[in-house]
Parts: sequence; C-alpha cells; structure tokens
Amino acid sequence: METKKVKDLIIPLTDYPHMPYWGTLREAIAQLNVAFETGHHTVLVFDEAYKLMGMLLEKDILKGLEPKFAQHHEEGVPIMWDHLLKSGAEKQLGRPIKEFMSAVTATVDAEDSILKASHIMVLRNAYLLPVMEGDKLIGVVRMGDLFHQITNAVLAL
Amino acid sequence: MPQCKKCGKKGLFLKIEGDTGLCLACNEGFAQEGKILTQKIIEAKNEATASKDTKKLVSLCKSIEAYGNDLVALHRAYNLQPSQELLDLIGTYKKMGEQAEK
Repeated sequence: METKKVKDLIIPLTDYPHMPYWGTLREAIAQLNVAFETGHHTVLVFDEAYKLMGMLLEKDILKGLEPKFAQHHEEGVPIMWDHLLKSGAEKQLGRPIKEFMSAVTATVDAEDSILKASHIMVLRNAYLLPVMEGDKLIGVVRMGDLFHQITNAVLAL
Repeated sequence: MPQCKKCGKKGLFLKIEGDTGLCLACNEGFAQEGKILTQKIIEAKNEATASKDTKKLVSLCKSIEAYGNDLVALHRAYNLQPSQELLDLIGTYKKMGEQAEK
C-alpha cells in the first residue's frame, strides 16, 4: 500500500477559528464553543501582521484555568477546588491568550509521509502541525486524521 | 550598520526589530495600525464562519478582502512582505464571496 502524504490530509487555516494574540481567554472559549460542532478544537493565534504565532488548544485553556498551585499536584487538588476555580478563573479569563498558547515548535512539509508527521507529533507532543510547501504555510494537519489513516492501514495489514 | 527598512535611519547602536527589520518607532507604528486591521479581519472571519445568511456572508467576505488588502498595503508602506497566511485568507474569502453571490 502506498503511504499517504501529509498533503492528502491538509486542512486550510481558514477552517479554524482565528484570534489575535491580544484576545482574551474568555473570547477564545467562546470561539471554541461556536466551533465545537465542526470538530475543530483549536484556535489559531495570529500577530498584528497576520502571521501564525501559535495555537491555543483545549488543554492550554484548561491549564490556564487551574489555580497556579494546583499545577504541582499530580493527583487532584486537595482542597476547595470548586471555590478556587470560580474565584481564580475570573481573573484568568481576562488575560491575553498569548500567555496560554502553545508556540509553533515544529512544521511538516506537504510532501512528507504521514508517518513522519506522526513521529514529529509524538516527539513534540503536538496535536496540530503547520504544513509548509517550500517556505509557504499552506494549512495544518491534525493528529486525529493521521491516527485514522495509520490505524486503518495497520489493521488492514 | 543596522538600518530601518521604513525610515532609513541608521546607526551603530540603532535597535532594529529582528522580525521586521524596522526601528522601534516604525515597528510601533506598524504594530498599532496592524492590530486594528487584524482585529477587524478576525472579527469578520469568525462571524463569516458562523453566518448562515448569504447576504451577510457576501458582505463579510467583502469586508475581509478589503481589510486584508488594507493590511497588505500597510505592509508595503513599511517595506514588509505580507505573510502567506494573510494572502491566502484574502484569496479564500474573495472566492467564497464570489461563490455565495452567484
């Protein structure tokens, strides 16, 4: 079986919700709630020149909403989680998403195989990778689509 | 010797922004105007994604194209290359607007 290439699974950037880096966490959550039904669970973050700066994933938002000290507890928060979430989150919701987003740490070429893209995602703990054609950014590829392709190929062996 | 791409100011100790090649004053000017246009583009883009009304969609696509072209013009005024993301966005919404109008 011929290995699929990244270009076969590209999703255009315009399909995703966009936000400027100075937008707030509250606005990002609203955008994600609107986009939830489309299956896009990431907000793309742009700078003032409309250049992609990073991505805000659901995990970035959940992490941002946690009280600071809770991040040091591996097995849950010992006390008054509900109260802390409520009081702490209000402040966090007004903060710019630049503080919470995941920076773009890796890209993949449109001609690369999906296995290479999958390897990079695992290595970099990335759910979404920007896809380049030469030095042009042409879209993104997401882990779910790679997973679907690779596991179907594995099961059909 | 570092030199600003917009105002041409140069000097051994002139601080130039790595991303843009502009001096701090020009960079600030670009950022201020760029932020306003980027905000308008993104608001229209996200509204267009959720819009189910064809007339409104056409109008939003035209707004995205117009604001996008303004941002490209701003880049040119500062001797900067517009990003591929911006050019693709303008192209996509131009096509989308034309198709919705048919």
